[in-house]
Amino acid sequence: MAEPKVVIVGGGLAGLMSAMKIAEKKIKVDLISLVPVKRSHSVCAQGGVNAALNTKGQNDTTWEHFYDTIYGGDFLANQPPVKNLCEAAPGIIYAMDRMGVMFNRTPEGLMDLRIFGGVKKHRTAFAGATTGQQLLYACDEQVRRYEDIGMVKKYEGWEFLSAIIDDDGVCRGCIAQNLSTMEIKPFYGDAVIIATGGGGMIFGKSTNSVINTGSAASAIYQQGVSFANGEFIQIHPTGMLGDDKTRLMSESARGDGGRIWTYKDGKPWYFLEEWYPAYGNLVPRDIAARAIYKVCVEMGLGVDGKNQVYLDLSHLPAEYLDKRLGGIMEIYENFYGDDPRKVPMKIFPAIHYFMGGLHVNWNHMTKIPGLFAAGECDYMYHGANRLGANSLLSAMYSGTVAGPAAVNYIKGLQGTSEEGAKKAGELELKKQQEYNDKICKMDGKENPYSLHDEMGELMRLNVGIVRNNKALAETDVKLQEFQERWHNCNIVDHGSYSNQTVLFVRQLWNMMQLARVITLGALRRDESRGSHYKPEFPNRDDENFLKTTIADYTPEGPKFSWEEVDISLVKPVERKYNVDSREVKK
Amino acid sequence: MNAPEFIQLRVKRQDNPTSKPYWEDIKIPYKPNMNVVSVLMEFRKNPINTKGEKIDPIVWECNCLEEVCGACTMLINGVPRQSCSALIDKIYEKYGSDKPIVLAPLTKFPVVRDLMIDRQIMFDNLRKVKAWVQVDGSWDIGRGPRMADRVHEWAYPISRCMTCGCCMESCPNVNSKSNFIGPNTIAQVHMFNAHPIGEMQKEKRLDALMGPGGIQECGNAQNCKRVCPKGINLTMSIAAVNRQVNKRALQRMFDK
Amino acid sequence: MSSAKKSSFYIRRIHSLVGLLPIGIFMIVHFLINSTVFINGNESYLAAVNFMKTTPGVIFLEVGLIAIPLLFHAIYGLYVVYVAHNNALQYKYYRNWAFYLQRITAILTTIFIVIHVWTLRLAVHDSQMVIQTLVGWLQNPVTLAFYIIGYLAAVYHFGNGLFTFLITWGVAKGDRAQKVLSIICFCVFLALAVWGGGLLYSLAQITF
Repeated sequence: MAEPKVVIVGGGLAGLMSAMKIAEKKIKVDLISLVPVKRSHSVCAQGGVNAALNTKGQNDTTWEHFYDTIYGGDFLANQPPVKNLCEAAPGIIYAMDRMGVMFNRTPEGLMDLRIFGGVKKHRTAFAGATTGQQLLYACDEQVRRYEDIGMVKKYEGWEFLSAIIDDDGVCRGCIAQNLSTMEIKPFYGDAVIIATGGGGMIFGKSTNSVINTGSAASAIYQQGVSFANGEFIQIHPTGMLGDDKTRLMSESARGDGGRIWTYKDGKPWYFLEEWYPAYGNLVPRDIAARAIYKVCVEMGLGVDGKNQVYLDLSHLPAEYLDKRLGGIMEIYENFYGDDPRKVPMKIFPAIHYFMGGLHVNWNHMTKIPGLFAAGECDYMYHGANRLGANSLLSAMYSGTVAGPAAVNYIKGLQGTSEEGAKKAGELELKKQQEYNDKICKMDGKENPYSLHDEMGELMRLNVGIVRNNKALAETDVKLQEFQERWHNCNIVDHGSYSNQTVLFVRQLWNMMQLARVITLGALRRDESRGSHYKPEFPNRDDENFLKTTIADYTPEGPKFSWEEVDISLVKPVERKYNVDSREVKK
Repeated sequence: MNAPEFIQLRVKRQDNPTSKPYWEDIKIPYKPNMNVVSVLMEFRKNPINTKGEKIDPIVWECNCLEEVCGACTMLINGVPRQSCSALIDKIYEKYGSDKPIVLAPLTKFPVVRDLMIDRQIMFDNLRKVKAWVQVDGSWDIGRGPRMADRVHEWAYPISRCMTCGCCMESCPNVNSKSNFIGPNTIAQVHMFNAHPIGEMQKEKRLDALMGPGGIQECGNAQNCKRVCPKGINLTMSIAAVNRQVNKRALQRMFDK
Repeated sequence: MSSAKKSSFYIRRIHSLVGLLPIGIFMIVHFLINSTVFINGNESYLAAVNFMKTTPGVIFLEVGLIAIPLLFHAIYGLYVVYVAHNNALQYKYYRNWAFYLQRITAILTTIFIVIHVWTLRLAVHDSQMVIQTLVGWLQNPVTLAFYIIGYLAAVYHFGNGLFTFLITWGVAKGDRAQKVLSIICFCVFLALAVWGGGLLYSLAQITF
């Protein structure tokens, strides 16, 4: 029998962590990544990573971390996996520390902790304002070490096209395309882990990197994996509007003392502090985003009459800011030209994170045996809203679950036939090759990039911070029109080498599929919960909607169903941030 | 400054790794607050050059657009930098808005297509010098070693190196005649050698840096430090690692 | 000389070391001996040259401490010059210019020393003849210009080389240390330039 092997798709934090865990168990890995793994989107995470290390004399516990996460997620997350996540957090962070992550230090040489939104205790370890970058690099280094001894083989510059599923419905590998030579080829493996991140590009402009199209997750969805909670899209309250993207201004800016304000009656008005006295500027992201939206759009009090408010750090010492927030100081200075040490930054909420994603069981396996998902592309840990600094944690943790789970799955395999895989692989390869050839010949009138722009604008407008049913229904009609128009795309680029447009056209189709999942999911959920906010239904409705949205692909559009949420550990209570969460509990 | 009507670019193009490079002039209507990436994005929506010919859109690499991934590095008016943070208005302030902005791929790496280059060599170099902390495993064995804040203070900036290649591009001793490993790799060794666990494999990294293309190829032109977009003090690291390799050389000679 | 497989670490380090020791030190000693011209013109200078030439075993010193290190430094140095891809016009920073100048002066110094040694050490042997030849060179404007360029190149190469030596050997590490030492090394260059200029002037004044 051939040597067992796992194929991992995606070289971000979740993918690299899985790779490391699998190589540690002496199983070989093929790692497929769109970009050199060091350039994955995980580098963009700024503020930090949560773990109840309890080194600040505040009696922090993993239980409190768990409770804050569940409460912050508006009780939509399955509780046992979240509990496991929070309990594993300190161990993961300590391991990362040993691997050389340059966490900020206390005078005693311990990891320093900062405070983040929706939380009352110092629980966030950080490396300046570039924590994601440092964590990713540490994982990259460890994987390079395994590469050095031949346990991991990297395929950088390859795009995942589809999974290879044999006659028994078991995943046997995947098909990928080389971004330079345009070669399409099968990668066989006994298990496949999808760790391809979120899909911010569906909204055109977001805080996401341009590779975050959600295309791989969408392809899997179209092959039969359910997509869960698609409608829950985190809007980050503090983004910096730009022509090409909205750049993230980390929540740590507020954690380290930043204040949000705008002018009211000619005087600075600290509306978050006024409305949410218990948490002030450190309310969770959905609350802050909606407050800013309300101030700008509904009250018309945006700075300079535009949709923007101030995020003010200028009252803090420059040296303190450089040491703790240097990364974002730099971004604002470089991209906006103003010095945030001296003048307040202008910000507005921006599409940021997909809480939803591929539906997986608690071992991160999808309903297709052998096909796993980890990281932002799964739906597991954040419920209806993610707490700041939990994303890096969930990315790493899901890797530590999915990797070993894949190994266990392989060990349990019996009598899988090589021929079965080959047969399915060749069939799928042929299908993808034909699809590719079809795209290469598209010579219609639509420019795919302009079409994408249109879709993004529509999604931001109607499926963003505030949603209402009429607009959502219209959006879905529009999205179907876009799908029609997609068939009339022009390939624009006629080069046979590194043709980015061919790949983009394929991604665009996949984005359109997920856009409908998001929009229709939002339409069906007649309540407000976490990031999902419908003024028509301003309250949470646990009776009808304390359920996971499940979308399954059909050629006519997504078919929806509900799944019960596991609330076996804590009882749902009303989520309020004008008083302390623990008081609410009592 | 009067706002120009168009943003004009002169782009050095190449269809594939083996074909001949050529220049292309393109333009898009001026808008304030654009950067080189957003100009290229705008252009591909209607790829017609200044001669009015329909052409293939420009191919370039970009990802995070926040100057942390390093992907979009190219020569902009001869300066190696990230194109996402190359603000058009700032370029015009410096060079004037009447001249086209010249874009070219980095010259020290093989071109893939147009402005896209292959920087695999930089990752290979990191592998050569064992730029990692050799932990026994990623499992949970409790708290890691303590590290003094003063070490973090100089080592953290090095950890922000995004392997973008600016330092390699500007170094006169990185070229087709030499196999110099480059300033960034040396800085990484400096950082790993300072980590309490990383320090235990210090000798292996130093031996690698004394090998072919190692630190000895540095000629102290110090351009690396000047062009580093993250302001990493590469020359300090080079001098510090020089100190370490010299000590190591003496050890190798006399400790046996 | 290919560096593809074998490491050039030791040869580079030795190259750096011999530049200062013995070559740099020898240059200073050379200047010191020349400086006897300041005392009493031809008379004292001739005595010094005679003394040097009659010291027993001087040939071994000349070959072992001067000729071999110098030849090695020059020949390997030319390879180092060849390997660089100079870009001072693109990156107009002070250190980058210094890097470029170091390579230009390397070539100039090599040419100068070859001619200097040939005409004054290998072609003529009588002490008085050596001095006469030298003075002849210095009194002709064209060859004087050659001498001025040659010695300036040599002392610049030494001054800047001293600074890079300090980095290569890990002495100058921090920004401030590098800045201060860079200024000091530049002052060494200036001092040697003035000293050498004085020597040329005085030597050119010798009458017989």
